[in-house]
Amino acid sequence: MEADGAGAGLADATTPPPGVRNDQPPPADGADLATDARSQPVIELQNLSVTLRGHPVLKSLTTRVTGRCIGLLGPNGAGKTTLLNTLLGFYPSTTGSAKVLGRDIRERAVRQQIGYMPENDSFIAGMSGVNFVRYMGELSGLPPEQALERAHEVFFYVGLGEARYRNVEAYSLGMKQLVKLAQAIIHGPRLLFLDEPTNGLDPPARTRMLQLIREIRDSGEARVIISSHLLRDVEECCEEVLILRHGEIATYCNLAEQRRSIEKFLLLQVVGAPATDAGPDPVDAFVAGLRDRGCEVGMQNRRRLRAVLPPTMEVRNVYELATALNVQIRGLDHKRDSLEDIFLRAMEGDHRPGDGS
Amino acid sequence: MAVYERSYHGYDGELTGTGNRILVISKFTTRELFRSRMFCAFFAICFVPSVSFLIAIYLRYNLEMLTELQIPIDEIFIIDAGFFINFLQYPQASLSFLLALVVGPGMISPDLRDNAMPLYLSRALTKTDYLLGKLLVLVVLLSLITWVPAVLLFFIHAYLGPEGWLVDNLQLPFAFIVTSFAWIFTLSLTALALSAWIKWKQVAQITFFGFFVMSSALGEAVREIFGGWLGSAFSAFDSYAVLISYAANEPVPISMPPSVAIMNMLVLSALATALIFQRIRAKEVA
Amino acid sequence: MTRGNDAIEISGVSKFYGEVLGVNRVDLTVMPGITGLVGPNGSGKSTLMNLIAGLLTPTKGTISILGLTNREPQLLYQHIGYCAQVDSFPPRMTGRQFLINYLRVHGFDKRSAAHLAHEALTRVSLLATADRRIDGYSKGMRQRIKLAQSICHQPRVMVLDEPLNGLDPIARAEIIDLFLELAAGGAHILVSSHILHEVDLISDRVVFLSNGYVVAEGDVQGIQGEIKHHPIQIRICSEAAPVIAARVFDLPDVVEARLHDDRRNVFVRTRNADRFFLAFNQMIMDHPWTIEAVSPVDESVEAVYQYLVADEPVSQ
Repeated sequence: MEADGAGAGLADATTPPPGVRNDQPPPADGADLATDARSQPVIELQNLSVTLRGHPVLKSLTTRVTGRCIGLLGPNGAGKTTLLNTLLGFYPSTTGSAKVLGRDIRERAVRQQIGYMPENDSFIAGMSGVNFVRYMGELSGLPPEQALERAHEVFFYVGLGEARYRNVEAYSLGMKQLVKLAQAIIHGPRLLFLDEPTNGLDPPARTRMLQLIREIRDSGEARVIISSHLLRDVEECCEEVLILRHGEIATYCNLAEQRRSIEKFLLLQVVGAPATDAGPDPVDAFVAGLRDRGCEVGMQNRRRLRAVLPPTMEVRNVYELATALNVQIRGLDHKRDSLEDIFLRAMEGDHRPGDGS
Repeated sequence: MAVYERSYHGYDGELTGTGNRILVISKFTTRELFRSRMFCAFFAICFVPSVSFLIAIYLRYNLEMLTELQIPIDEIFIIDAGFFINFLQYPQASLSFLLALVVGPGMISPDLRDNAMPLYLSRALTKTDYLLGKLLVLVVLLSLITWVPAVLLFFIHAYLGPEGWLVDNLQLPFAFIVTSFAWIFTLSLTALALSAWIKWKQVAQITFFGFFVMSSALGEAVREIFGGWLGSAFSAFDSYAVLISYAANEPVPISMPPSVAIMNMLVLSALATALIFQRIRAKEVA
Repeated sequence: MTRGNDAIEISGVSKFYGEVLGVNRVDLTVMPGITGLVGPNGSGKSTLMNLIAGLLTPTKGTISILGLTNREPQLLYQHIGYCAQVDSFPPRMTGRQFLINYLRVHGFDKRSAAHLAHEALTRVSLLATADRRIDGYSKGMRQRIKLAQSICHQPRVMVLDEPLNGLDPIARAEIIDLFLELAAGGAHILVSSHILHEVDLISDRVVFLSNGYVVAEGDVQGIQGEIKHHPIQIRICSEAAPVIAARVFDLPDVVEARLHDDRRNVFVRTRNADRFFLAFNQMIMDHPWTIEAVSPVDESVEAVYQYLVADEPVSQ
């Protein structure tokens, strides 16, 4: 699908702001970044521990996170939110250190380069949308005229152009999410923290949000960290994932590499001819036939199968069997390890999460 | 023809300094404040006493008519330190109290109510910056109706009045400034503390009113019943009165030692500040 | 006693709030199993759910839930479990107490209530924190206690509004398994969600709402077959894409075969899916092509949603 910018049509052109090029010298108050910012680690943790109210929540985390867009995952209580809050400077670290974009998080100036989109409702009642975002822009150091310009620009970019003069408290849930994104990007930060960005959004709005995130990622201007429970969202946008469990790092892996790995299986979508009273259901027969030939087959529901082919079998053989049994193969895909599998493997060794914390 | 696609661009322009951020908070808070016509009217009214006193001083020295009528104005209308103290203590103390009441309690609660604090604190702003930004608004507004007119009136009188009066009374402007600031900080910080802890502006305002007026009334009652000055130790109004008079080298209306008055204000301010910092967190520690 | 009726029948139901439309002229039969309910915010989903749960009375039309209506509340509410989107719990109660109270209100005696509460807590994996106050629960735990409440009295009808909201991926999978288990036991489970691929995964049938109207309902593949003016679209990924494009175009019913820029993907539109797949599968056998992927671009909840409900793209 073509990227179409924000959903509200491309009728109004936008002149590119002056001076925005990748060969510009770094901004005055910005981080001392090397010019090839992309290879620099976004986050570096060194034995980072955080104890809240006597409970150790993060236990000696050490890692180096690179990549343009990183997913932060973990079951409830794993320390995801705490890590995010610590990197934002909301909680002090107990021991160890953390660096964001090469600077220690304890330096106030590092937050100049950070944009944050909270999970919960976050706004100031009584202000219009554009006024609110402009205020946030000025608080981030933009001079007043620039702040106002960019506030409008950002509103159109996220697709809220029509509603920008209305008061924020009157916005719908989806609009409030977009405003949170707008205030996070108005100052053009180098690093974005997005906490459950698609929370409560209906499907078209969710698609748009994810598209915006991908655009921001692809622009090269900002690195993005997404914390979410929706693995699909993370899969669509992120190249790497950091999975936490019980306050420790369970896995840190690169999705693209995982997808290229050799381990593979097929996802099949099948439709069988209606079963006659006499014979067995064609789909069941198909599954049995595959198993007979040495495949591991799992049925997600009546239409979807997962099959791991033995070395002796090829896709063509699957088609042969299907044709013979009058089963249509309506969908076929080679699935590398999906994020769900990676996540479940990372949780291995866990008892059933009955503590529900 | 060139077609410009809307895409994401970062910001590479100039950035303002960190001190500027504090002023941004003040600017926006002030802007919101003066949107209300009621407030503009009220604020204008706060200047009425200043203007009246100004006219009084002017008239005192410029009405030939009075000398012709042989009215011994010099004996009736004496402008001395007491004049100014009366000015500060009566109309202006009450007005500044009212102004703090109107402005203060609504300053922090809107930011807390809808969870905007993380948005502030995720930027290069500290809690201190935030507090200073809000405080600055109150300090400036309250200054404009306490020491600023008092000092101006002083110098105008010095200009219009008898020779040498200025030199004799030089301690006055300093007294006004210092004591007014003590008063301003006490009022402002208390109002902000109430705003941080009480969600509804009106309830915070009533609490503010109650707190100061009650302590004053209580102080007076205790003084009446038991004598001495102990009752006043808890009253900010009385402390203010004591401090002004003391700093101006004038007789003190209540025989409370000025050190107690200062303690009263300091303790209240410190307590209020601590309470504010307790509340303006980005996240509650679960 | 139930009258042995197995379905939820909604006939000609409209619900207005003053002049504001909730739902208009809805005719629906909900069978046992899992029924998904999708639609944008404001499309009437909550209204429909409240009507089915017996919490609202239709302005017009009739609803019969297992043969009962909300004019017999004591009988009806025994059979209905409702999980709302909003959080509202009595203060200072523990999870277990909350459930036991709820069960007592439903007429269970102390022993049964305790037993059923325990069972529900086990099913939602909240046993370890059941005796902690709900005030202190995390978002995920709150969601689970709400779910527990909607299933503890073993209702036959469960109306669940965004039941997986706030749950981490493991919990999602667990609760989905729970739904499948309950559905297999003959319950009617109505699930409303914005996460379309999950709805696709678990639902036997899906109801699409838009602007207060039911625009489609049924099995997704069935729905697609009925949208006559949209020939279905299929993506085929293969090294041999250009050749496939040419060959496939020869098949009857194929109206379009578009080769993607990357020359590895072909998008085919056909008016008859069944015939196409049978013919295409045969072609694969007859030619030495290696097929990497085949995906019907249309046979998913996302695709149908996009055609019928949304004006904007919906990710697939």
